[in-house]
Amino acid sequence: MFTAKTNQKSKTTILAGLALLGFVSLSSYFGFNNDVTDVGYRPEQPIPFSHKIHAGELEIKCMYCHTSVEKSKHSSVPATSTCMNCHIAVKAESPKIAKVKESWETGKPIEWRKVHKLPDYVNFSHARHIRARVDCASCHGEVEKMGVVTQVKPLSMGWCLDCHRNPQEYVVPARQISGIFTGLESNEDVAKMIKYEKPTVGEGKWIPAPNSNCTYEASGEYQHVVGKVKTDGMDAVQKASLAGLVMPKKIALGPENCGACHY
Amino acid sequence: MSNNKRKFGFWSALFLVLFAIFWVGLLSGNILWTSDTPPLEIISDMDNQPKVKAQAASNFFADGKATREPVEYTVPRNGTKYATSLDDADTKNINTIPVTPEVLARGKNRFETMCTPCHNYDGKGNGLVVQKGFANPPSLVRPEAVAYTDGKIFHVISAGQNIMSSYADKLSELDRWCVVHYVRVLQNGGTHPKMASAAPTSAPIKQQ
Repeated sequence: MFTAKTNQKSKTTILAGLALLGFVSLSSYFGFNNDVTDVGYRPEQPIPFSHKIHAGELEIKCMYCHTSVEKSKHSSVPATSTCMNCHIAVKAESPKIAKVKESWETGKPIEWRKVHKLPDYVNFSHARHIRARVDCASCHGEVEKMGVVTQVKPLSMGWCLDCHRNPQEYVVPARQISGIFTGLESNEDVAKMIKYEKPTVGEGKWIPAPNSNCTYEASGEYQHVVGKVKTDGMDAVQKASLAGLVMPKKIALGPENCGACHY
Repeated sequence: MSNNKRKFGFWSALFLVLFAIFWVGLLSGNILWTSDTPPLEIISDMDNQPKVKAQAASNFFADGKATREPVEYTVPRNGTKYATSLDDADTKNINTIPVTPEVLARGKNRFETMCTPCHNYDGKGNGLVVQKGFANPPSLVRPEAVAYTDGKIFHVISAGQNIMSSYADKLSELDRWCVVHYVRVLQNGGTHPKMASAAPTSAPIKQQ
């Protein structure tokens, strides 16, 4: 039963087993990481729309198409009519535009593929971040340089927290190409404003979620903004007429309690 | 026996090479590859919930869209009755929005987002999209346009004109009035006629 080779065999088995265990545990730890699974997702779209041409060369602002981004949790994909604003005349004969035109005439939506996907239990709000003058590029990369949109950030919870704890290291201040309304401040001022106060979590004090029950629109948050609309000397009608004005929100360290996003 | 040994050597070498490539790829933290297939979900938790999501498809409705459209003849609850043609735009579209620095800054931002592709930053036309083959719009600062009433400009933004489409879906009513005020700033050479002292303080943002 025990031959001269038994020692060698058992040693090999143990070493191989340990190596396998290490390989499996380490690769599953890193392999589960969103950096590996999500970054680099680059789906082919039904129509080869190039952000590089539209945003990069033609300097069409992000918000020309993604209009709902400052008012809604979701950044909307534009309606086909938005494409036809220009393509009714520009390159109207191109076979690629023919597909857009068909959708425009029949009312059948173009089935764009979603690139950046958060888990369904996360209640991320675009409007909050845009109104805090966080540029699109902070999370989506420099889309105006992408021919095909690629996910460049992991969009994992750890990644969110990295930025919420040290925003000055990660946040890109609003750029012109985004079309984000920065209020009365110039972009240089906004860049200076991205200075955050450190939270006092260490002293056992949680930072309250400013508004964790999703009543963003209804609560009239524009009242608490930095660039608050001055209504001195106005009558009631004029005050009321300005009530819906989209204004930037105070730049502050975002929520770090779980309930702010998961509820 | 010697044959077997050589085989083992080959496979272990191959394994080591693949192993090294795998680890360099994983730990470098950069994108080494891109993929057309949706992200791998090893443990999917509750990432994909069977609920209606914004702008998604849905089998529930006959048209296959999860996003619903308002019923025909729906009017906004707080909506104002605006003009339906350019002729009654002067009388029906009344500008009640006061001119404040915030309003002008907002108007500048919306103008530069929605209008500059064709009308350019100075309103004189020949924007970057025009250079790609779109019809060049007439200047916004020409005397005829200066003579336009606020209501008329509002109507053109809301309903479009000639080849220009309606921007009512992109600009709220308030935003449209802000843009009207900002067009007046452009026509007046940098200041609003009602607010001669204060030019819009939203400084021109340079591309970074």
